[in-house]
Amino acid sequence: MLSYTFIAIVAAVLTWLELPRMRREKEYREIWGFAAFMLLAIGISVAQTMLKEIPTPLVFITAIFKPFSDLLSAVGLIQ
Amino acid sequence: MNRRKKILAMILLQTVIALLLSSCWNRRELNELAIAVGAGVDWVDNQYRLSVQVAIPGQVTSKRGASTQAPATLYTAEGDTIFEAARRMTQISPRKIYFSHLRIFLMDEAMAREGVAKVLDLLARDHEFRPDFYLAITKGTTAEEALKIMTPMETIPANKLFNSLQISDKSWSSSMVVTLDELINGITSTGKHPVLTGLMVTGDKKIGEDKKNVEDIYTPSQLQYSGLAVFKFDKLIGWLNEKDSRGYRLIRGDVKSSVGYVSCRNKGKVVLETLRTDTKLKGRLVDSRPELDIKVSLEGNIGSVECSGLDLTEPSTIRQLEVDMEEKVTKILEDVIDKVQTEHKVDIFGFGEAFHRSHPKTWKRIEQEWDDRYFTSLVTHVSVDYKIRGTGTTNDSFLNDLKE
Amino acid sequence: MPEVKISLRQVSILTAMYLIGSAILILPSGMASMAKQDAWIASLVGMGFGFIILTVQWQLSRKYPETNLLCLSEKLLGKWVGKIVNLLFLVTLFLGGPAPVLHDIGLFMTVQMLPETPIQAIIYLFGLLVILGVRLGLEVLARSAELLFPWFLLLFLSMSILLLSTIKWENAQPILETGVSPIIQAAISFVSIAFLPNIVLLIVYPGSVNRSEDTHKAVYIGCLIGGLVLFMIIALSILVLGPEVTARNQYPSYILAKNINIGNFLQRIEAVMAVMWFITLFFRISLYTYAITIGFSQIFNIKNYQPLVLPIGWIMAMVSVFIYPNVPYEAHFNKKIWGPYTITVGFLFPLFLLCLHYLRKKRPQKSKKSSNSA
Repeated sequence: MLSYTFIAIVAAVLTWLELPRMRREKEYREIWGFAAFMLLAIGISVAQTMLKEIPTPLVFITAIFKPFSDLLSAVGLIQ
Repeated sequence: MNRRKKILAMILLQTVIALLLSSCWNRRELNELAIAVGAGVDWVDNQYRLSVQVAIPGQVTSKRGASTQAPATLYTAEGDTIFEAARRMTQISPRKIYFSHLRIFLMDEAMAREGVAKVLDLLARDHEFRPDFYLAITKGTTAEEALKIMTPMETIPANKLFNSLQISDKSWSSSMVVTLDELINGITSTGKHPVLTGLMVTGDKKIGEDKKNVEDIYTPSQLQYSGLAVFKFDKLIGWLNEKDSRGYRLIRGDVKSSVGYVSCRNKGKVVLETLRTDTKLKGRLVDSRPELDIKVSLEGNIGSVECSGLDLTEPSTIRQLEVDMEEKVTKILEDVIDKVQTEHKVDIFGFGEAFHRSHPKTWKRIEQEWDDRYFTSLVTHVSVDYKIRGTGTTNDSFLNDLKE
Repeated sequence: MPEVKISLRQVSILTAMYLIGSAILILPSGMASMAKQDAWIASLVGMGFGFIILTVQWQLSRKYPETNLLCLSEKLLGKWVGKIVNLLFLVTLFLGGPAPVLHDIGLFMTVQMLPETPIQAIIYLFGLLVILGVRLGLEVLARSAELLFPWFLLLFLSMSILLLSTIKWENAQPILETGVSPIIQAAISFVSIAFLPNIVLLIVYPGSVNRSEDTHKAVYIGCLIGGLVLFMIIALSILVLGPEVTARNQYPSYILAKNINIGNFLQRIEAVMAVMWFITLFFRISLYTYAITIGFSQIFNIKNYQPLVLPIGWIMAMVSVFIYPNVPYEAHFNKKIWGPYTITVGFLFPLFLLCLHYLRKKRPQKSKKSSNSA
C-alpha cells in the first residue's frame, strides 16, 4: 500500500511542477505528450509493485536480433 | 514556476539532509568492527577450521605495562565451507569481522596437499578482501597454532608476519611475497606452477602462546619463514630448501638483493652483496624439441673479505672473483632445476610461459603434455654474468697486513 | 523551447565523456576474454573501425546541415515510414541505452562498494541527478562537462602514472598469439560499446552548435580523446593485471585502482578513482536521455521537450531496476545482442540513409516531392 501512495505522490508532484506552466503558455500538445508518458510511467510503476517478477523488455530486442546475431557468430565476427 | 521551484528546492534539500543524516545502509563504525589482520585455514576432520586473528585497537596504542591483555585475539570456527565458518564466528566474536585490512593468510600443509583452489575462490570473489595480503603455507604446524604465537617488536603477530616476509623477500630472497592474483595466475596457467613461502614455528609452541614468550630478551618460540612450497596446480607436492629457494627466485628474476660468498685460493671466503639482478628466459627450438636459455645478470659489491692475499686494487682479481661467482651461481641454478625436474616434476619456473612467449605456435601443440613429457627432460642453458661494481668503503683488506 | 547553442570545445568534451562512459567499466573484461593479451591491439583496430563508422554517420549529417537524424529519416523515408522507424529506433534505444547504463552504475556500486545497499537506492538517486541535468538542457550539461572534464583527466592521468611501476611487459607477450579472428571480435565489441552508439550524437548536436559546419571535426577530436583513454585503460589492465585476471574480474579498471600502492603510503584510493566512473557515466546516461526525449517530442510534433523529461526519467529509473535479471544475463546481452543491434542502428541505418540520399539526388524530381511532403 505504501508503494501505491508513493507512486501517487510522485505523480502528483511531477504534475504540479509541469502542468500549470504548460496551461499558462497554452502548450496543449505538450500536455498531451506529458499525460501519455505519465500514464505509461504510472503503469510501469504499478506493474512493478504488483508483480514480483517482470520479464525484462530486452527479450523483444533479443528476439528481433537473434537471427542477425546468429549470422554474425557463424561468420565469426562476434563470439 | 518560481515559487514552485522554491518549494521543490526546499523539499529536495530536506531529503538530501535526511539522506546524509541516516548515512549509508551498511555503514560500519570503527567501534563496531573487529579488524582481522591474519587468517588461517586448517583441514581438520574433513572440515575447514578457520582461525582469524583480530587486532584489539586499544591494546595496540596503549602504553606498555599498563595492560595485561594480549594485543590481538584469535577466533576459531569450523564449517563445511569457509564462508560458513566465517559467519559462524559471530557466535563467539562480539563484533562483525572485517577482512579489508587482512595482512596475511595462512594455510596448513595438510590442507594445501588437499588443494587450495576452493579456498581462494572466496578470497577472490568477496568484495571485502583486497588483493594486497600475502599468502603462506605453515610447515610442521597448523595455521591456528602459528597465529597463536606472541611476537616481540611488532605486537600484532600478523603485522610481524607481513613485514618480515616483505623484508626477507627483499634482502635475503629465500622466501617470497605472493599475492592472491599471482597465486591464482599460477594455478590456472599451464606454463607455470605456483610456489608459496613456508612458515615454521621454532621452539616450544606452548611457551610461544604464552605472554612469557615476549617478556624476556630471549624469545623462546619464533615464527620463521623457511623454504618454498612447490605446488602442482593447487596441490602442494613438496618443498624447496633455503638454497634451492634462492636459486629458484633468481631464475624467476625477482631477487632484489641477496648475499653470497666465493672461496678464495688460500682458505677463507669473500662475500659478495648482490644489489641488482635481471633474468631473461628465452625459448628455442632445436630439432623440434624445446630448449631454454637462462641468462642471469647480477650486479654487486664486495661485502666482506675473510681471507688474506687478495689484491683488490687489481682489476684481474675482481675479474677472477666474478668468474668464481658466476660458476657458483650457475651451479646453484643447475642444481635447483635438476632437483625440480627429477623430484617434483612440475614446472614452477615458468619455463613453459617463457616458451609460450617465444614460440606461441609450437606451444599450442605441446601445451597439454608440457609437464609430463617436455619439462622433465628439458635442456636448459644457464649463463650467468656477475658484475662487481664496488668494494665497499675500503680498498684492500687489512687482513693482508695481519701478521700471523 | 529555448534556443540552445554550445561551442565546439564543449562538443569535443561531451563526445569524449559520452564515449568513455560505461565502456570504461565493462569493456576491458569482455575484450580480454576474447583477445587475451592482444586486447590492446584490438582496441586500436576498433578505433580504426570506429572512425570509418563515424565518417559514415557524419557524412550523412553534413549533407543536411542543422537537421537531426530523426528529421532526416522522415525526409528520406517519407513522413509516416520515417516516423515509425524513428519510434522503433527510440524505443529500442531507450531499452538498450540509458536504462542499462543506469543499471551498470548501480550494479558497480552494489558489487564493489556498497554490497548491502539495495540497487534501487543508487539507481533512483543517480537517475534523479540525470533527470535534473536533462531538464536543465544541453547547455547546462555541456558547461558542467567542461567543468568536470579536468577532474576526470586529473584522476585518469594520476591513476595511469601511479600504475606505471607495476607494469609487467611479459603480460602482453606473446603478441598476436590468438590470431586475427579474436582480435576482430574484440574490436567489434569495442566499437559496439564505444563508437557505434555515437549515432545518438546525430540527434543531439545538429541545430545546437554555434559553428555547425565544424561539428564533425569537434566530434572526431572528442572521439580521439575518448578512444585513447579507453586504449590506455585496456592496455593498463592487460599490462598490470594480466589477461586472465582482467577477463575474470567484472570491473578490471576498479581492480587496477586497487593495485595502486606507492611505498605503502599512497594506497587504497580506489574510491576516489571511482569518481571517474561517476562523471563519465553521468554524461553517457544524460546524453542518451536527452536524445530520446527530444526524439519523442519531435515524433509527436511537440515543440518544447522539457515537460517530457520528468515522466521519461521516471520510466527510465523504473525500467532500469529490472532491465537485467542478473549479471550473467547482462554479459550475455552485451556479447550476443548489443553488437548486432548497434551495428544495425549505428552503421547500417545511416549507411542506408546515405545511399538513399545519393539515389534521390540522381532523380531530382522525386527528392523534391519527398521534401515537400516532409
